[in-house]
Amino acid sequence: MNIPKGLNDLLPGEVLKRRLLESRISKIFTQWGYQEIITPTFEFYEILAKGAGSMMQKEMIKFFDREGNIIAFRPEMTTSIARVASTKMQLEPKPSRLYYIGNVFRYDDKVGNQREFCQAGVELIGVNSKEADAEVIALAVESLKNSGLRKFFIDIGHINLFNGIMQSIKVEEKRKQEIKEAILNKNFVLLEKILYFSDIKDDEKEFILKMPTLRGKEEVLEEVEKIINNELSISALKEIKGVYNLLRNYGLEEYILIDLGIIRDFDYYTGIIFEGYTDYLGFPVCGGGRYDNLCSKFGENIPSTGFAIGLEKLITALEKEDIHSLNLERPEQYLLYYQNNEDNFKKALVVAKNLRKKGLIVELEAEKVCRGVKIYSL
Amino acid sequence: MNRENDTDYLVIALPSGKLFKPSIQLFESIGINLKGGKGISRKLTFFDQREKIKFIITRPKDNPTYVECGAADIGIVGEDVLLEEKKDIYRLLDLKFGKCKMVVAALEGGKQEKYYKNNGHRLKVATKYPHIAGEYFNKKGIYVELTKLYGSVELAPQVGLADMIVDIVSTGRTLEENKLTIIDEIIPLSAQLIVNRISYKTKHKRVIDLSQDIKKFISLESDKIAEW
Repeated sequence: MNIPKGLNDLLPGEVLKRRLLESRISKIFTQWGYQEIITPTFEFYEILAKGAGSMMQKEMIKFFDREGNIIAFRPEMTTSIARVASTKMQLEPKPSRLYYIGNVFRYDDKVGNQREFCQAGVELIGVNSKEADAEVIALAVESLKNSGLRKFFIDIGHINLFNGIMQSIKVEEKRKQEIKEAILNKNFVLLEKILYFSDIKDDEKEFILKMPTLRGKEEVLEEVEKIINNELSISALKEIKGVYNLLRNYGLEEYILIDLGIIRDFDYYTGIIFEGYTDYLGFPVCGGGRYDNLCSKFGENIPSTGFAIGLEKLITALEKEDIHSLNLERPEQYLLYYQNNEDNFKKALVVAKNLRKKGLIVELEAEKVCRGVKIYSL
Repeated sequence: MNRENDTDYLVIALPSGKLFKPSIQLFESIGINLKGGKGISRKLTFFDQREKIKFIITRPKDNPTYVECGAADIGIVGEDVLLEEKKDIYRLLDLKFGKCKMVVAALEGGKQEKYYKNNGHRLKVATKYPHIAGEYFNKKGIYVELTKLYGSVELAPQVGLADMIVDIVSTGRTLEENKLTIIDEIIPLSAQLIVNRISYKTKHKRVIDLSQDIKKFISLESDKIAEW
């Protein structure tokens, strides 16, 4: 009696933690003016594929429906929400602030071979400004903080830093693709080899190799400013600087690092991108960024930004940091038993009603059972 | 060691098997004392308190999994493992030892032309590396049926389980002893230094210092290392 590979039954102890975390996070989202939205668990593949790169398209779990349509389980939430924003909420005044908590599905999560996992996230739809970027990053920090996590960083970067450099180097398109792929695959051994055999200026080679390691506070920006000279990358740097300064106003700079080595898996990003790291996880706990062209694939040109937190990952990080961080203070729990006696039963019903009214948890049984719950004597 | 200071340590995953000894030698040569690896292969973990390094020993194929999940910050792994199974890790250095080749081999007396002709039926290939083999034959446009084996692949052609094998060879002696000849070389391979994607950021200085030390050593001694 098994379930498909990569899926899990969550037992009550785990569910308690999950729900506690969900409530901590949704509370913050709500306080910041974000409203919850629920979209279907599976949709037409064609729609979801608009937001997925070729890698993610392979990872989607698909099937045929009765009419012969290809259906896919959502591999992430942003595409579905972009669809709703452009087709059902396009007339509403902007910006829209939306949040979600829901399960997403992929054949290979890379880590732990899970196929179903839970994401909580927000989308700030209809504004293209550094203030919007900063708000979403600040909200990511606040959400992690309020989940109970103490030690973490949000790294911010920009998709066009890399794009600008790739555009500006003068090398044939095939080589460019090879370089890009090596960087995306984080294969520096191959990257060095390709660069060695490529006809690229030495300082550009050096910068391409160095870029993934540039991470820190403002001094990183100063360092990079000296090296790059293409327009796309320069304006990207300016945007990072702007957002960083706003985050300083939020008082969150201790959590923020500028990181030119960020690579995100999704193809839809167009601007600022960011990821959250803790010492306790070998992969990011959250990630997001600006996606100004996704909505236009559904007919409306609406610039947007957002992020998602992986709840299973966050639970792992929280418990590694402090095993008690998801212990919930529950009301006292009692067992009432009436010894299979009708008079006792009536009495027990009244007592139980009163105790529950006081907020206690009461179970009613005919006979005494042992399950580690306090006995309430009649 | 408790969890609290786990994050102070740099965790390095060493592969058991052929790459174990050269890996130990490599770290000793850059000044990290592993006592020649004595007594640690059974224990599976080993600490260098002074340098704050924790060594763990993994099965070669599991090595990148430990690194990908962050159970180890750094790993040493044969390129064959990385080619067969894609992992989300940084590949930092070619360590230049554990050199070998991924090859196609068949029973002696044949030519590539002979083996790569389907003659109306699909060719049978036995291998530990179905992904690499599949990609190779796909690119060549040759229709094959792959059989995944877990070891002693050389046996397969002799008992009629396969027409050819795809496997790694270092000296070629095993092939010879089993009357097999190389009909094509797919790719040269060597040991690689890999790093977890978060450790690469959060423990950046330590990771880079270590890899610089190793790099310096490799370029000085590359001839000698090749013999290890």
